[in-house]
Amino acid sequence: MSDQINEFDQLFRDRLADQTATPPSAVWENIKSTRSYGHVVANRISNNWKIFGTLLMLLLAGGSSIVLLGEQKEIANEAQINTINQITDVVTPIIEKEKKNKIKPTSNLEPSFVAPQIIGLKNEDILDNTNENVPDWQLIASLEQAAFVRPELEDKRLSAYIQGLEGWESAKPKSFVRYYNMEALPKKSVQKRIIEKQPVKAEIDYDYVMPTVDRKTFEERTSILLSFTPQTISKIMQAEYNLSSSYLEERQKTEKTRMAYTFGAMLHYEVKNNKFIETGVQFTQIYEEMSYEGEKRFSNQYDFLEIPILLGYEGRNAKIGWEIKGGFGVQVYNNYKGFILKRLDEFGAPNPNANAQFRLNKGEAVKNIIENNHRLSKNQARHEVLDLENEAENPYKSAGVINFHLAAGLTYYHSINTTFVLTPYYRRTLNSITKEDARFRENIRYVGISFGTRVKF
Amino acid sequence: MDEKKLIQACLNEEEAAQKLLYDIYSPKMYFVCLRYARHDMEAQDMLQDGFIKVFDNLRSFKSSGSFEGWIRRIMVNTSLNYCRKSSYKQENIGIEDYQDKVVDPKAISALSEQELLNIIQQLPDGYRMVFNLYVIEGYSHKEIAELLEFTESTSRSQLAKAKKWIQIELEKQKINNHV
Repeated sequence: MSDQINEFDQLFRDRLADQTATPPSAVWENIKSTRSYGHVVANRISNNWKIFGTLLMLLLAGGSSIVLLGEQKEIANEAQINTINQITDVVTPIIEKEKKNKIKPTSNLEPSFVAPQIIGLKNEDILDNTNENVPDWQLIASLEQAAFVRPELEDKRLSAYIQGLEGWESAKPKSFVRYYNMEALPKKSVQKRIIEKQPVKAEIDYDYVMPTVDRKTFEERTSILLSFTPQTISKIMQAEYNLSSSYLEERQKTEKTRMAYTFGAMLHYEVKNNKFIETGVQFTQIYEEMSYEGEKRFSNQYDFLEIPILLGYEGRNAKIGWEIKGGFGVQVYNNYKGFILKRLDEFGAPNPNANAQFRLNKGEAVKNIIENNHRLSKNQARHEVLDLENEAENPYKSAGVINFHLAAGLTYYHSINTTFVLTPYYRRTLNSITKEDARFRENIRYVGISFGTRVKF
Repeated sequence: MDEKKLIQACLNEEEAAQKLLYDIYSPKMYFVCLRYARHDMEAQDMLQDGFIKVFDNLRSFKSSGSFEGWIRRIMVNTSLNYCRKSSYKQENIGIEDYQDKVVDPKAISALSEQELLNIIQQLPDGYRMVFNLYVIEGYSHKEIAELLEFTESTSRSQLAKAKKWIQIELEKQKINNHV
């Protein structure tokens, strides 16, 4: 009977297995029109990923260069300016007389870099002081008083700004008032009081130029960030359309991931306005063990080198500050050791003589538990696992995995040259770490805390 | 154009190459779909979806294996997905009492491929899937059980019933021919 059934099968197989039939031409037309544009574009990009990757890197590099080279001057910080202004406001009239013919108005300067002369005092009042050697305390007192009043000015726009100051801001000397501040004002508050007449340069006397400082050097802006980040990881595995999901379920059940570690050496470059760029090298190591029936059966190790480019923003208040940063990284070198479970449909014919099959071995536990050197147990059937050191068997990519990075945390400015950084860190792979023909996708999420030290050159 | 160049051109989304690939493999694959489908229209839908998957996932083809085998596997899986959508897996249509009879091989040989295909297409859906997978594609019961998400014993039982059904149909054909 059995032979006859086999003959029956064979007859059908021989007659039908390789038969052909011509499909209607409409099928091809439907295929062309139905294919999603997204897949077509994705195929083109992935097929030419080196070109697209290079272009992206060039764009990033170009953009960064423009940002870095674009800044020519840096205005001194507000606190320094205030101090200088207050001193200048008091001292300038006193020495005015001595210099009376030496100071030339700088009215041809850009309004954003100059301040109007103190209003409410006429030059003649200062110059009429006949005692040239003794400070006129009355004059100084009146200057101080004048410095903190809010007079109505001819320049209506300026006047509107001064009147709009509140709280301690209003107590600042008027020299604090600058056109660049006015420009920064919310339009609404100023517009209420703006009178159509715009300030005319020629009508304003300018007495000094806003102080500027030289651009910081590369060394002043740059520091090295050395970091250590222990992380927990979670895997997201998805079967492709032609792979049974039971394989991945089996792996999820048996794989126990130990903590992952990342060591980083990054260049931290301050751009401007508290923004910074970080790039460098990160080395990450992940170790996994595969357990079955509560026992470790085999293990694997996944190391990779990554080059991240992160953009960040930092705020500082005296010694303590904070930072947030995010960006992308490319894994340039992946290294694998050890074994993972083989796909169930690739087991091949079962070997009845095998003492221990991964899925069949029960009770009699494996005595030769794998050591951390990733050697396969004597009792572990070789044909049931994939050797990650064998390129033909390894389903993972050797490079080209792209990660998204996000971190936000605290900074402690220990000294001029040293800053400690403590940041919770999130990273995840954007594309699968598996090769294209692996028949399953695997993404990794990392969550950890980064301990870092930034050291200036 | 050799196979590797053809695949590379398809990866570059060159339409002429994709059409060529389709022309080469669609006749065989269409017949595969016809075996799983209930009628021609369903087979055409299966073929269309299968080739879309082929083009979308061409990158995942491992060049060391057989390209035709890879396409065929996609077609079979696509066809099975169609069958799954119809939510049928097991059939019980009262043929358990039909006695096993030895089928005369000549009865099969006497039929044309189209007639054999018609018999398979007339099989109840669940039987047809298992019969195709086991008899024509050469899958084991374990693999069929995994693919169709039922037990191996169900697969065996479905196959036995499918064969009985075919025996009945062959008997009918035989009688008709004699008449």
